[in-house]
Amino acid sequence: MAETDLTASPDIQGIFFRGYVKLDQAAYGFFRITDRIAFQDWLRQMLDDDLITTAKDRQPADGVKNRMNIAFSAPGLQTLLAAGYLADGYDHAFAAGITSPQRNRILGDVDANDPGKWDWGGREPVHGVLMSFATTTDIAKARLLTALCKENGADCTHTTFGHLEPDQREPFGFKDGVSQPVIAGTKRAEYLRQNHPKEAAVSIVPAGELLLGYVDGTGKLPRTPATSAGLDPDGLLDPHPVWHDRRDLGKNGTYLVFRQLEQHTKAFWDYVEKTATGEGDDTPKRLAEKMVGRGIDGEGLAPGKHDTRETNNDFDFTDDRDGLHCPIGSHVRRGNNRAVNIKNAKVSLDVTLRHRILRRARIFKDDDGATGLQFMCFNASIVRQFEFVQSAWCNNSMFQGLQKEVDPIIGTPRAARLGVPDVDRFTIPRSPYRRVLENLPQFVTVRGGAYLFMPGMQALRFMAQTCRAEAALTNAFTDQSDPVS
Amino acid sequence: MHNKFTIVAPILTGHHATVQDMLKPFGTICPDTTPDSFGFAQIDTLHFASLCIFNDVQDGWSLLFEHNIDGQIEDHIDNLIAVAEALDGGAFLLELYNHCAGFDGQTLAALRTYLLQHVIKPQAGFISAVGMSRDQIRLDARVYDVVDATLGAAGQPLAPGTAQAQVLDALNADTSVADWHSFPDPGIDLGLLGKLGAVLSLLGNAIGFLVLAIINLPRERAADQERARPDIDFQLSLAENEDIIPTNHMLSVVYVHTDAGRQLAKRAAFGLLRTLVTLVFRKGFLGEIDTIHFAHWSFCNDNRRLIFVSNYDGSWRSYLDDFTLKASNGLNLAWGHSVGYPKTWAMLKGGASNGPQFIDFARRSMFPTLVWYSAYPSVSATNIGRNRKLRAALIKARSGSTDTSWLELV
Repeated sequence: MAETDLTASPDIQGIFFRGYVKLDQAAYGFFRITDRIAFQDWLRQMLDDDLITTAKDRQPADGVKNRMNIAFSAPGLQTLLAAGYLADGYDHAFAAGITSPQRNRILGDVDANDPGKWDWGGREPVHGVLMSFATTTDIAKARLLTALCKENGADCTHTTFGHLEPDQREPFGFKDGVSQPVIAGTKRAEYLRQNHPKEAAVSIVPAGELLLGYVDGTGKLPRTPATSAGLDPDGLLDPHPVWHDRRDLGKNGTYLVFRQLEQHTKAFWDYVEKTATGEGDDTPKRLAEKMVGRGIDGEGLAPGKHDTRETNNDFDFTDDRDGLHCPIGSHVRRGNNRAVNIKNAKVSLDVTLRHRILRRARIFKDDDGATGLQFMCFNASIVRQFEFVQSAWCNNSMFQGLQKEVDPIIGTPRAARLGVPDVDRFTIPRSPYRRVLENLPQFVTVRGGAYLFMPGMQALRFMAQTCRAEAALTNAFTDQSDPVS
Repeated sequence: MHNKFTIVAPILTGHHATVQDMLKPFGTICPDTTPDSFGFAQIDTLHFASLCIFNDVQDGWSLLFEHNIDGQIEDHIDNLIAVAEALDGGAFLLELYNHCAGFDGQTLAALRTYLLQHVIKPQAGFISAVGMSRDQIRLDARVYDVVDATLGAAGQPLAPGTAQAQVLDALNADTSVADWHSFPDPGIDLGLLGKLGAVLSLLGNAIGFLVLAIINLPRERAADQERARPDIDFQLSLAENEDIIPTNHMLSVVYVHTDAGRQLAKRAAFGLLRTLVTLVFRKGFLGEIDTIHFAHWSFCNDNRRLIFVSNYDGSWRSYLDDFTLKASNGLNLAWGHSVGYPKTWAMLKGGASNGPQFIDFARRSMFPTLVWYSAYPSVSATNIGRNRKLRAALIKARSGSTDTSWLELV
């Protein structure tokens, strides 16, 4: 089957494929829906005016000052769709929400990361996020607040900001976003296949790994949410692939995980400064690079040279099973094992490629100096992809034979309990024997988060008319039962 | 030598809620937790244990008590009883089993007989630490900790010879590992007779299995699959006792098809698994999976139900992902011909490779673990294998070996 290039799809929201690099300022408005009829009317107006950007909209385009995209949480969809929200069809992590108690444990959202302490999304779930990207913060914010108002049936409960650095550096100073999954059938995938087969092998995933409505790594369609056909009188949506009497709300949509991650940059550099002996390779910069698992400029740490855009992803760690180059427990190796999950490299790579996420992070910097990432990632299943990476790999203290340590960057250190010792170290394999970084503090704290669903454009059109469809249904029966009035 | 088994006792009608109330407060038990009413930590033959209740459409509720032990079953039950007697005169255990049908005894001697009568030995199972007793696993872990502490942060590494000398000194000085060089390791060698027996059994089971697989094919392809997703509250009830420590426990009880053809095929498939495990999977890996401490399958309720219990490292989700991505054929051999199982071909293809459907099937078949005990929560199955190698190498170093490559194991 020929793979089609989805990158110009008019049905996929723009942020999925584009980083909007020219619009380097962003405002994220987390909202609750206060009046679903007014909200649907506003949403329809937005769609009619082409104010929700799609992948088809040419980017970068001169003169464009603002782009917007929108996503909803489970309570948001429930409010908006009422009986059209069928919980069964959604990814169950999404349906349960990011703050449900069993998720806290596997995500490491405990102690300092406890949702009770979050700035947003922790105590009261948000209904959704409107993302506004612009050339200046003022434009981004103004557009957002004009949209999320009482007349439009929404209450903007929290606004947070993000921006891109010209050289793509995250607050610790590392080049970020170096390794991303690439969707099969896109021009980028073809380019990699022909010119960088090694990078292609570890990067290309079928569209269904990241977008609903296309086959995934198993050759089947990923699970997709359903909605009631009765609320879709105009046939905006396709039939659902499993429940044929229902409609497919998921096509061209994707799950969006949003986490605001504060980075304690001073603590991070103070720690490596204090810990490095300065002898040979044991420098602050090198220890930091070992924890991250990449060079500060994005260089891959596998054997060989991987220091240019062409080469910094063309490796798979099979030459570095012991982690002498890139430590087994480092942040990037936990998050993306490439081909060394298990003994068999081929199966390993398959396993890894079933757990990729597409990231779209921006940086925040508050007036009080707090800084970090507005972490966003897209995946076809939150349980199978984001949560799996976060729990089975990053926060697993028994990851690949390690002990007493979690991801040194985004993991949650734990005090000893129930016979399990303190989890607070980081091992750097080295010859003749390992280097250990002890008493590692927590360098990243979660400040907010939500599990969201970012619908395709047709699904948004459907969502903008369900109140009218409901009313039409009700009226039809009222008319029949009471012909006199 | 290890044994793994379950004791399945029918609960008196109407008593299951009381049994659940008695057990649920225990949750996860480790050697360091405050002493529990079972005295698990004092039973020195015990690796992992669990208790839970499950219900059956015909037989009602049963109490399931899982044991993974060193040595003989009878000796272990004696230990269990002796520890209970020392703790509270056996009052707790007696009270628990007084809620079970067919036990009206007031004495621990009667309880011992009752427990032994209800022992179910598994059809097949897997143990990663082949041959290792609980005490060896713990000793090896302490040896690792001493070595790790001696090497320290190692900002500047010592010369390998110096490091080795320091480590040996530290081990000799540490009274908590006094027997580090003398405690025997039984090794993993099966022996010629063992191998021969396993090969013969493998052949026999394989032939039987193939014949039955063909005979059963029409029924296998016509069997109904269940696609329902586990509901959110049910998932919550399971998750309540998961991810408390990095190692986890799962209990699943499925219905199996009871016609003779498929029952026999299941026996042959388990025979295959049993001999494969004995012959091939002796080095801590079950195929590509290296996170399982003890796991086993057994029949109960007149062979209508199949119990699966497992003690594994990491989260449930990653365990099941391993099953579907790395071991679907083996899982089909064990779980094929279960009612509602994803469609298989000859108990090998399909089935567990159908990721989401299989994972939902497995989740729906589970019952919450009420009590779970791990004798060594600090070490993963992988750590246990590493520690074993480390102590063996250090024993060589002690007797004069200058090979310091063991340093890479730490």
